[in-house]
This record gives sequence, C-alpha cells and structure tokens, in this order.
Amino acid sequence: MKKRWSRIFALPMGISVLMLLLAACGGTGTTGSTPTATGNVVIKIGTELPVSGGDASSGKPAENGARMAVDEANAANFIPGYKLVFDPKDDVGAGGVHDPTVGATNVTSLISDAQVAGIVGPFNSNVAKAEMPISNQAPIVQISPSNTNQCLTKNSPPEIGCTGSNNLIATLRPSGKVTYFRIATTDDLQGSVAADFLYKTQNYRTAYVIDDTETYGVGIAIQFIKRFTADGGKILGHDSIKSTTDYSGELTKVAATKPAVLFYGGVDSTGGTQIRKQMVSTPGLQQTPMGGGDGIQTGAFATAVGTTSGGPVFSTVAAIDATKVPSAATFIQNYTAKYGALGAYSAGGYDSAKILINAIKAAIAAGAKPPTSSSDSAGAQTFRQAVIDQVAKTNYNGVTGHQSFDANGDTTNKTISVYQLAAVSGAPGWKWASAITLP
Amino acid sequence: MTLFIQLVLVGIISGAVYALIALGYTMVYGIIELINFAHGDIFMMGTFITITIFGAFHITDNPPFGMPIVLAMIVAFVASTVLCALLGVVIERIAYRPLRNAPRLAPLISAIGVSLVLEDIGKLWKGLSPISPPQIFNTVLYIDKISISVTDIIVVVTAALLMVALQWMVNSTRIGRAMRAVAQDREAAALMGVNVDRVISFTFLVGAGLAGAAGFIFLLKFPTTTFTIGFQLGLIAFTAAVLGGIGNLVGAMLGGLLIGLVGSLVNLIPNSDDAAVRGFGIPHGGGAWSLAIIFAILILILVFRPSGLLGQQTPEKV
Repeated sequence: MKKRWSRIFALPMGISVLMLLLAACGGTGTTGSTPTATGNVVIKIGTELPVSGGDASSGKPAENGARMAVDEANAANFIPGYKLVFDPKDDVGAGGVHDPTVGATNVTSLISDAQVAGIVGPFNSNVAKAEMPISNQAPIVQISPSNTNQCLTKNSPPEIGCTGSNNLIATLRPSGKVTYFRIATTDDLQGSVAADFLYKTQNYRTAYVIDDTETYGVGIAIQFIKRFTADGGKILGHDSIKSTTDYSGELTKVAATKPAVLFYGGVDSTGGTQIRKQMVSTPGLQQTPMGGGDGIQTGAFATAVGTTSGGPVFSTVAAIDATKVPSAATFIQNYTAKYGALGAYSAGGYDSAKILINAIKAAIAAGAKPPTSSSDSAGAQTFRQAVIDQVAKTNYNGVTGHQSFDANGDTTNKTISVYQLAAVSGAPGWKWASAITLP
Repeated sequence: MTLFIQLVLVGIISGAVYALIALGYTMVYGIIELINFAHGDIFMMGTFITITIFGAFHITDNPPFGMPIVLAMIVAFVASTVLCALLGVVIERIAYRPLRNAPRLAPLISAIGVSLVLEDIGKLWKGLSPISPPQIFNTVLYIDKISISVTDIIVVVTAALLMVALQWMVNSTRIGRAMRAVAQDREAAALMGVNVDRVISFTFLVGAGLAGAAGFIFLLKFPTTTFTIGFQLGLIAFTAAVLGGIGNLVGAMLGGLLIGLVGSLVNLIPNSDDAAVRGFGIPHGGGAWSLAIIFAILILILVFRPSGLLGQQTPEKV
C-alpha cells in the first residue's frame, strides 16, 4: 500500500519539477543575450504536400523545390543568427493519394510546434479546404505553390461560381483575416485559358467534359464549360465521376456524342491517366484529343500515357514556365543537378519557401522575436502574425516571375502556360506550347 | 439503341474481368470459409508480371502483328497465371495453414497482413506511380454500327474459356470431386481418404492462377495499374462473389457480369443538369453513381436473398 501511494504522488511531483525546469530554461532563453552568429536558434519551415503514393510525381518536385530554398538560405547564412530547419509533412492517406484528413492532422501538428514559422502547402485544393480553417485560427501563414480553386480565396464576382454552397470564405477564414496565400493563379482563369486555347488555337468546336468530383476538378471543369460556351463552342455533356478503374461505359457514351476534344477536370491519380489510356481502346475516341488542367501535367501521366498512341494531350499550368524566365536559369541548373527533371511545381515550391523565408527575415528585422523553444506558444503567436504581415507585403522577383499578393491572398502574377504531351529529350514529357498572361 | 447495345458489350467485357477475380474469392471461401483479402493483391502481382514480360520482349505501343507480340502475349499470360498460382500456394502454406484450427478471426487478420505485405512488395518493385503496358491490338471491327475492338474479343474469349475449364474441372475431374467433398464436410472427406491439405493447396493454386490470368486480361482492357489496384478491384470482385452467393462458382460469374453490366448501363441515365433532358435524370449523370447503384442492388438482393443470387440453389459449394 505504502509503495503505491508514493508512486501516485511521484508522478505529479515529477511533472511539476519538470515544468519548473522548462520554465526556467524558457526564461533564460528569451531574456538572455541575443543569439550568436553560429546559428543556434532554430526556425522551422514546414511543408504540407503529397509526396508519396499516386501523388509522388506531383508533390515531391514541389517539396524538393522548397527544400532547396531552405538549404540555400542556410548555406548563405541568409538570416544571421538563425538556422532554418526543414520540416516536411506528407498528406497522402490510406487511399494512396492526397487526403484532406491527413492534411488537417499535419497542419495541427505543425502548429503545435512553436518553432514552425510558416507552412508551404498544401498542393491540392480539397486538402486546402480542410486545412485553412485550422491555420487561419492559429494563426499561421500557408503559402500554396499550386492550389488553384478560385473559391478558396474569393466569393465575388458571381460569374466565378463561388456563391451559395460554394461560398467558403466564412468557413475558410473564420478570423476574418487573410493568412493563406498562393502563387498559382486560379481555376477561373486556368479553365478559361484552356477553353480559349482549345477553341481558338486548336479550332475544336465541340467538347465533352468529365471531372473527378473533387474541389479542384469540378471548379476547373465549370470554368472551362462557361468560357468554351462563351467562345462559341458546344459542350456535348458533363459528367462527374469519382475515381475508378473502369471508365469503359462512360467513354462509350462519350464516344457516341463524337466530341472534337475531351476536357478532363481533375488530377492524374483520380482518373486522368486511366481515362486517357482507356480512350485509346474505346472505338470513336482512339484519336480524340484530350485537354486538362495542371492536375494532369505530371511526369507519371506522361510516362504512363506515352507519345506513341492516341490523340494529342494538352494541359495548362497556372504559372509561368521557369525555363522561360531568364533569371531562373541558375535555379533550374541547381535543381536538375540535385533532383533531376523539373516538375510542374518545382519552381512554385522553391518560390513559396523563398517568400516565406524573406518574410521571416523581414519580420525579424522589424523587431519580431522568434520563439526559442517548441513549447513557447505565446511567442509563436506573435511571431507568426508578424510573418503573416510580411508575407502580405511580398514584392518578390522569383523563378516564377514577379510575385505579390492582392487583398485575398491571390498572386497578382496571372500567367498561364499551355503544354502538350510530347517526347522531351527522348522520353515522354510536357512540351511548352504557349503562355497567356491575363490582365 | 446502338449506344445501348454498345454499353451491354462494354459491360460484358468488364464483367468478365470481375468474374475471373471473383472466382478466386468464392473458391477459397467455399473450401475453408476464409475471405482471402490477399486475393486482390495477387491479382495486382499478375498485372505487374505481365508488364515485366512485355518489357522483357521490348514490346512498344502499336506493335505490328507478328511472332514477337503473339509470343510475348502467350508468355505473359502463362507466366502471370503460373507465378500467381505458386504465390497463392506459398501464401496458403505460410499464412493460412498454420492457423487452420485457430479461431476464424486469426486467418482473416493474417490475410489482411499478407495483403499489406504484397502491396509493399509491389511498391518496392514497380514504384509508387501508376504504370502501363504498351497499347496493343486497338484495331476496331464494325458489325453494322456496333464496334468492338480486337482486344475486347481476346478478353471475352480468354475469360470464357477459363471459366468453362474451371467448371469442367470442378464438376468432372477427380480433384474437382475432392474439392466439392472438402467443401461440404472436411472431416468426412478426410475419413474417406481425401488428402485435405493437398486439396486446399490445389484450391489456392487454381484461385490464385485465375487472379494472375485476370491480371493479364485486365491490362489488355484497362491499361493502367498501380500497387493499390488490388484493393479496388478486390472490393468489386468480392462484391460480385457475395452478389452471386459466396461459395458458388456460377454465382461468382453471374455476379461479376451483373456488376459489369450495371456499371456500364447506368451511363444511360442522363445528367439532370443538362438542359437537353429538362431535369430528367440524376445530378452529375448516371456514371457518377455506378458504385452507389451497384451497392444498392447488393443490399436489396441480400435483404431478400441473404445468401446471394445463387447461394441456395446448389447445395455443393466449391
């Protein structure tokens, strides 16, 4: 009996002693002398991207880009006295693709670490939907290299379709303040550019639209339909189909309408690859061209589909092509030397992290103090707010062109690139076709 | 009308693939009443073996018809079937036989474990991204306005031959009789001199071999695979087996065909958002609801016939 009682007391006593010790340490940390130039104060840069499973070829290049930005900043001692630590998270869930629930858990765990100053990501718009309310309330900045769903940041004008159940601003921005930024331009523009390109440049007069039922896919499909119709084209049908292995019935139906082009709203891992592969074995669609957004612009799609069967494939990317930006040459050289071929959002990941690092530097220069321990949540709150304020003021010339943010957190850089599936240095890849810069 | 006939054809072709996988589930369940969760992953291995063989023969997209492609197809089919069959036997020996007399849940859990192990092997072998075999035989034949590709014919004929052969083996051979005996009463069969262990091994051999063959056939028709594909296809095939009456061979074939047909024909239901149909139909079109409709049918059938479509009509289950 006696022994048990002592044990019961030992636990709370031990904990309180530990707390005292921690508090003492924290005290000396914040009130002590300024950190030395050896870089012993840690600031963490989080990333929240899908980097495994079916999404590896989408998210991993973006993560590599961000990692490179952090490594370069450390090597150049970019923020004297501080060491940046890269803290990557992966939101691929049990299904093998990006999972909003996993994303939300990742963001919560990044927030709980006071030393994380900001987050690069997420990659997918439906994951952003789950994460934004959490990061907004913390608050902590999120900079996405690739989210393109327009309703994540705006609910007007009504033409972009973010009204009624699609009006998400109150849910995604509960504090009323903007804490989420993105350097990719939105689907209302991406879908429009795709429609213009397919109708005006390629002269396709009829289209059939399939989307993958996800936030991103439905959004881009709806915008495509609006613009294609406005251009004078005819939409022969629009179906929303959740990712499956068998599209043969759907495609047989599509074939009966004889479309000039099939537009797919969605990502490669939720049907893009399967649909294109199965088109080739569907009578009537064997040579039909396919169009899509940045979701199909991946290396995995190019490798799986190849360039020797079926009709042409076009995709749009809501960013400038890094190879077309003269100042990006060094980045491309360094990136390819370290990680191999560029992904669609390698440059986006790099610039998102650079913007975050610049903002951290500016916040420190303006007098904000980064927390010195992982448990200093009060310190984290002040510092993170200071970082958010600096990100909002971004005025940065990067490898994705000039970046600054409007009042919604959207980039003011509205260049969209169009690509075609083709052999690129001997292997199937994406060949730059044209770029359209919107006002 | 053309579209309807076309969709029926497409449904039969998809259904044939589902039926082949469903047969493996149903055979194993019939003999040892185990839901073999690893079955879908054996199928995945079959698709990977097929891609490897095509790669070894240097087959590219749209190959000219001739010796190399025919030979590659035969080798791929045989290798996929035989290797998967052996894999099935090994799995049974390692993961299920030691647990034969353990409580029911134990082999079920080890089946889930084997499934995860196979997925990881697939991941290590072919990587994380979806992969594709070369596109072959896309020549389309037209009968009036109805079109069918050469691939589709190969798929249906191969699947049909395999199913007929299986029926013949179970009903008319000595080992088939032993299988039926073990399915009905394992102990009595053992007393009659049937080597139960060998019969169970043989069942896994045939079931897994069918999954391997299905892997080959699946890739001809749906040329994309990835290490997680066994889960998706396994779910559909398992549903087909339950729909037809698990443990019943003809039931599994029927269930597979039914799911293929339903999945294809729901595309006839128009999208209610489409102005041309004036609100008739369902939102997003029928294709968006195919799994929902398939499972609704499954629930209805199980409510009124708990043992599935053909579950009670034949007393012997294999």
